[in-house]
Amino acid sequence: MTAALPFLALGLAPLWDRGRAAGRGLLLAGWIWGVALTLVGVSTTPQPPASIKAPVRELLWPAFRDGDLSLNPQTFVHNSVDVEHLRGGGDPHAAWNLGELAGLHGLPSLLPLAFV
Amino acid sequence: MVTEFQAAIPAVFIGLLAMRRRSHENGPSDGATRNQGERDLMPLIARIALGVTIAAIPLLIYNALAFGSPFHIGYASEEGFQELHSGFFGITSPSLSTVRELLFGAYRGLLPLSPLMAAVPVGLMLLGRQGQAGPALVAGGVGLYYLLLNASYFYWEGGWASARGR
Repeated sequence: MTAALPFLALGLAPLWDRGRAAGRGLLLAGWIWGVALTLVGVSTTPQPPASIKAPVRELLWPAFRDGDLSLNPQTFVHNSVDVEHLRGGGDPHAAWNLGELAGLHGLPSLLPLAFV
Repeated sequence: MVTEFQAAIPAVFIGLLAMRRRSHENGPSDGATRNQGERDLMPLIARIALGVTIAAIPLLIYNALAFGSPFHIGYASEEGFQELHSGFFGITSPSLSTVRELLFGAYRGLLPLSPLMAAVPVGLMLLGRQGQAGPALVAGGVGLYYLLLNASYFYWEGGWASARGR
């Protein structure tokens, strides 16, 4: 469905143009929701295991809330991932963000995003 | 389009829209101006054909080198995903339960992740009424196409993912 989103987003422009304050507020709320979930997803893992049937509720949000970011332990030479040890530092993380490279941990490691 | 084969259909939608807009730019036509209009479309069609050719050449070369024939699609040689050999590379007919999952499901649903998209049908209708029926139809058509395509695909869930990628 991702490939269709830029096309579908064309439909949001006339809604914004014709919307009053309440309508624009709803659109803005929907946009903030989407941006927030995107932040949660990309800062933890955009590829949660297929065995997790509600990825946001079961993995992404709890990990984000706890500041357990960059979860992916799989490097180029790893064939598989132990799903049970994705969180809690069981396996070393292969993924990283700029803040972690700078020595920050948890949610503060997302601070460099503010400067992008 | 080199590897995203399913994008060929939306590309046709966009090409048809471009041709329609070009022909409408020339205004209403009688017999003589219709011939002129058709001639005016030729440069556009040539540019579209050039774009398709540029995308197709690396694919044909890759297929020839990897599989021995420029027209052998890699998915036809896929091992371990047996359902790819049913229907058209795993695509059969849309499943209503999969449509529901793709739109509302906690596993791969679009609307729980992006509720803003629920307003799109109304917005596209407004766009159509503002004299932009062509773009509105193409945008809606592309969305519907991908929804039905995914709902028709055996491996619709897309493996390790937070949303359906294709």
